[in-house]
Amino acid sequence: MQALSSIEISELIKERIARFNVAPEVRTEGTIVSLKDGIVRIHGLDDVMQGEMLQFDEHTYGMALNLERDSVGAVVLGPYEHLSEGQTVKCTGRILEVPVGEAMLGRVVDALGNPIDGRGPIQTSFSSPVEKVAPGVISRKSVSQPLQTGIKSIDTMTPIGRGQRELIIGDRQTGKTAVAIDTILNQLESDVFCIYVAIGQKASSVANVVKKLEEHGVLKKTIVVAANASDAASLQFIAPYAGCAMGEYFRDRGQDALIIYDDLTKHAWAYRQISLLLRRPPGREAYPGDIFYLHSRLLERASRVNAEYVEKLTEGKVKGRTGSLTALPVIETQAGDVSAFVPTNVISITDGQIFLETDLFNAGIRPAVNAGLSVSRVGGAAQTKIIKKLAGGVRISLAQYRELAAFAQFSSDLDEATKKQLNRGQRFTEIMKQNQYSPLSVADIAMIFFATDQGFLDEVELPKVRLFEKEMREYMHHHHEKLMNKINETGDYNAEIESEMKKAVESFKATYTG
Amino acid sequence: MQNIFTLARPYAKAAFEFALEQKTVLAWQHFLHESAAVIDNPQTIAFQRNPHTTETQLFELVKGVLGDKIDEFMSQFLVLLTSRKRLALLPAIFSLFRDYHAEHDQHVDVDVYSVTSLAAPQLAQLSSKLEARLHRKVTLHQHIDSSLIGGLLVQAGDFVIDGSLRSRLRRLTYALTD
Repeated sequence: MQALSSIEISELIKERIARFNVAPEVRTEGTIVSLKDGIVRIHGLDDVMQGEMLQFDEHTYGMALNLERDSVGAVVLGPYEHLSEGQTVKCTGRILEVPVGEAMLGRVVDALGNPIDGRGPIQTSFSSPVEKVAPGVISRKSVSQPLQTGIKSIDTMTPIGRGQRELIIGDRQTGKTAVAIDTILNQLESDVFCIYVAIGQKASSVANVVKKLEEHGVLKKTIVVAANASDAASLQFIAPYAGCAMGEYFRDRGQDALIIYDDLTKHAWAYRQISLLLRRPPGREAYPGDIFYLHSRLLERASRVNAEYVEKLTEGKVKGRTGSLTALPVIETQAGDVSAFVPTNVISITDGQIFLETDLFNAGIRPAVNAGLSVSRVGGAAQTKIIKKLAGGVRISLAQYRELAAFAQFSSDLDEATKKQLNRGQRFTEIMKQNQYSPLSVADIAMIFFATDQGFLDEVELPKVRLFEKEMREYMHHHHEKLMNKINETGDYNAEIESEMKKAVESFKATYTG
Repeated sequence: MQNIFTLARPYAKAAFEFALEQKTVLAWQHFLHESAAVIDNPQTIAFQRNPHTTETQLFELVKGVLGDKIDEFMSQFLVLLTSRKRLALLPAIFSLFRDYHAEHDQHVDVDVYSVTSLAAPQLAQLSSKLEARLHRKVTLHQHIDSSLIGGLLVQAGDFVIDGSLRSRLRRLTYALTD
């Protein structure tokens, strides 16, 4: 006997029949004229809109991208092997939509929002079009709240504010994804929701990321959108827009969200493939003419919106709260060439970049952040006060040190001032090193920079600096939990806190045996 | 490959505008219909495919079939197509010409598919309803299609109103399983 499945309940079936629309279907139809490499040419469909969703059969959808005089060029979203010439295509009259909402948190979905983690359907009643216009000038608010990444070198040198777009750029194997993942891990205690969009990555890499997020307990407040390397180019093309729509749901309800696009180089490749197959004229590096707009319209949607905007969109349910969507796009360079087409585009769109270098990475400086080339154009206004105070000048002095260090290799006889600067720089470089999957709190970061600033590290031998830091951190959590909590909560820096910090570091120094 | 309609459009447009000026639209449509039928004939297609066939021979074939039913302008049109090696476009030109004509007359051809043939009052009602909906004069073409099971399917170019039982059952299938 055949087993009865859970969907075969009379009540449910009744409800579905009752909901079924019996009115005749009115539609606009066209015919597939040609079909190749996921690109379809359609005859007819005179009233189709640019970007409209097309229906091939009950489970296959496409997107109209080229509206020409006698035909329509469209991409199939997903497998296309079962389609054939002469088959009819229907207009749906809608732009592609994906499910959004709290129910998406903790799930791994594909570019269309379908779950791919084998944990059943997602129960959400909200959906949102993938392509939306970014909030205008009036709806915005300037960036003023920090988004803590928990990475010392980033929170001190290139601070990121909520609603900012900060590019993570570097060659392969320089730890770009590591920076992004650590930032998500650091949101475990914060009120920021995370979206990780994997574009054109190996399925095994995505699985690893999901595993790490789950291990650290942060998956429950993260949505993973995956368009793997084996997925159709069309899915890789829409994945970041789909992820962005999911992030906008939180932004528009006065919450904060962080989205990571890993990475936009592969996104540009996918779009280039589609464009060339649609016979759009190729431009520089064979990218189509609208490759800049491709990324600018995506990244413009990451923003901080003001309370009025949130109030209007929630119809008065949420009052007095601003919302934000912070974007961390990732770009992979070839042999450190930031002047290639896509990297320069994205650098100019974003509010700063974190530049990761192979040489630094190989020299053991991890994260391999290049202090000289990394900037944050708006994050300074949002930086936590205590970190700004204690680590304000670090970026410049570290950049100067790296120049000086290269120069000092040639001369043996250096004056005192230079020696001192080199010594300081070496210590700062050591402090900036941090292990993967171990983001630090504001207090942890403040404490070590305070100790360095006050000269407590000057006598510590260079190879032991990291050990000193680790022991101090453990000591502080053991003996000065109250002070640490106070710093984490307020982020203020004043004479009282300074003296308390000094006392704490001194008491540690007394127990430190070296 | 260029779409044949893109290639045929300038010829069709020119022919229609000329015919309109000369008030010989129906004659031109008839001429294009016949010449398109000649080109679409399986024997002509086989003849065309022969690599030794020249465009002039094809022209003579069309001209020969049409005989003296065409006036000098129509013959001039064929000569023009011959010199540009576009005689094969005639079916597409005819189809576009017909569209231009329908558009000019505010008229539309509608295909109606049903399981059994419709009674005259039903057709009249349908056509008046469609005229209101499409804002055009409507000519109905009846077709019998038993695969619809029941109901009616109306098709005017891209625009389809599908009230057939087949479509409803199919949609019900997905409403229940999806």
